[in-house]
Amino acid sequence: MQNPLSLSELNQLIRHTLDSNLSPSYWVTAEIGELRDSAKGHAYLELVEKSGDQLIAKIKANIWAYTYQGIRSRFASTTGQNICNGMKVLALVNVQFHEIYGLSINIKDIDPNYTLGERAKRKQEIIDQLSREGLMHLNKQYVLPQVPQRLAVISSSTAAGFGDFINQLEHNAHGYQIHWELYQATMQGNDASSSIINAILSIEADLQQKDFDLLVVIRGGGAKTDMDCFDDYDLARAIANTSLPVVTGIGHERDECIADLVANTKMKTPTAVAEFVLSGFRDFEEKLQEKLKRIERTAGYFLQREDRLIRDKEHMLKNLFLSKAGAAKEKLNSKTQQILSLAHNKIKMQAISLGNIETYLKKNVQIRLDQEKNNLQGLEKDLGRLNPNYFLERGYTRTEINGIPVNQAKIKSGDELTTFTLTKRIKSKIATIEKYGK
Amino acid sequence: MANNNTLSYDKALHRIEEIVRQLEEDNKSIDELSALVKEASGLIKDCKLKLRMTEEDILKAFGEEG
Repeated sequence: MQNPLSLSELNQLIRHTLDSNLSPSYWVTAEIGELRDSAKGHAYLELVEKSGDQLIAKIKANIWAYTYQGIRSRFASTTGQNICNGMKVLALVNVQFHEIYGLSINIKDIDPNYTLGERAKRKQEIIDQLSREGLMHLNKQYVLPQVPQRLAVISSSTAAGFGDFINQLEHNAHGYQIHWELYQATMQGNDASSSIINAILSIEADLQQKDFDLLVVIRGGGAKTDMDCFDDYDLARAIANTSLPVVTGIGHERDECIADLVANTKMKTPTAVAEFVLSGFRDFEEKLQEKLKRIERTAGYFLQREDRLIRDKEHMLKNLFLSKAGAAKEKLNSKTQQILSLAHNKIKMQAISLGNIETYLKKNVQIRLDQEKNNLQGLEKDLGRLNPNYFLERGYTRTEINGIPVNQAKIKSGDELTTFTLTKRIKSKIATIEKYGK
Repeated sequence: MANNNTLSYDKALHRIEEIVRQLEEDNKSIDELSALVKEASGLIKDCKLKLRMTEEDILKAFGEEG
């Protein structure tokens, strides 16, 4: 039997064997099972390897404060997140054995690119799965409301980003009224995913009584790290299945997280989400303004056209009236002329007729007078012939008895006769009376 | 006649024609003749005056309108 070794001798042997047989360092891939920061700034870890859910390897590890500082900042700046549990890492390690503390490995470096690739790979797997399940575009099928007035907001009330968001909404330059309701959730760390999912479920439950137009997921800003939760499959699924269109403002500058990809619309920051919501209002208002303008323009055009039509009609009426009036006046004038000429003719005719009558009358009267004159002359001549002197001058006499012509008186012998000659009156007595002649 | 002026043109004309007819009938005495001729010539004078006045009235009426 070999001489027994003391424990310290054994441990020294183990240490010596390890030291002589192992290289000073190895690149090892492992998952961080546990990570604790010590007060002195060192990091104490447990590295594990799993096959499915089965743990197949495990070892303690540490990073000394000085090294840890460098690794951590380089890791964060490359991957955008802090080293944390569950992360797959590629580490440069040195195997150590301490007689008291036992076997552990000291991490000298961690290659962030490996983790990045690893995360991208995992992210791609989740995306592939979501695509297979038809969840990638499910929420995008919702048409964004024209005017998103009622917002369900998932965020942390204490976060600066949330404050910015609300500030932006409530003090918008156009005075738009936006109703919002906050559903509190933890927005970073391990609990974030389930907390956000719970908030989504609360909103879905509230939709029975409340009307929301939009679901907004905004992260508080601050650290750019710790974004893993937004690549979570369960959260992506919850977002995809929401019955409201989801707008994200997670503040992830580097690249899109899965929550962004499944959401209806992704904005970079909470402020951008607020701007986006307000732009919906503005667009709508502008459209209204444009419609109003078009109505105004069209109405103006119609009014102008009607005005022109009326003016045309007015003009036409005026012309028509003028021409009618002209025609009427002409007709009147011609009638006047006609009347004048007719009256004139009639008067002339009457005058002629009067003249004729006058002439006729004169002539007639003259004839009559002439006739009378002739008669008178005839009478005068006859009278001349009847004058007794005519006979007396020729020797005839006129004899009367007692003033009675002798041929008319009864005569007897002895009667005294008065005989007239032209110049003498002779008185005599009848001697005898004899019949003579017839 | 005293009422010559009050006779209308038509009545006056009618009267003139009647006188002409009476004269044509030749059965009027010379004394009557003189009276009739006086009446007729008076009526003719009046009618002529009336015609002239009518013409003036018409011209005046249309003259004012125009």
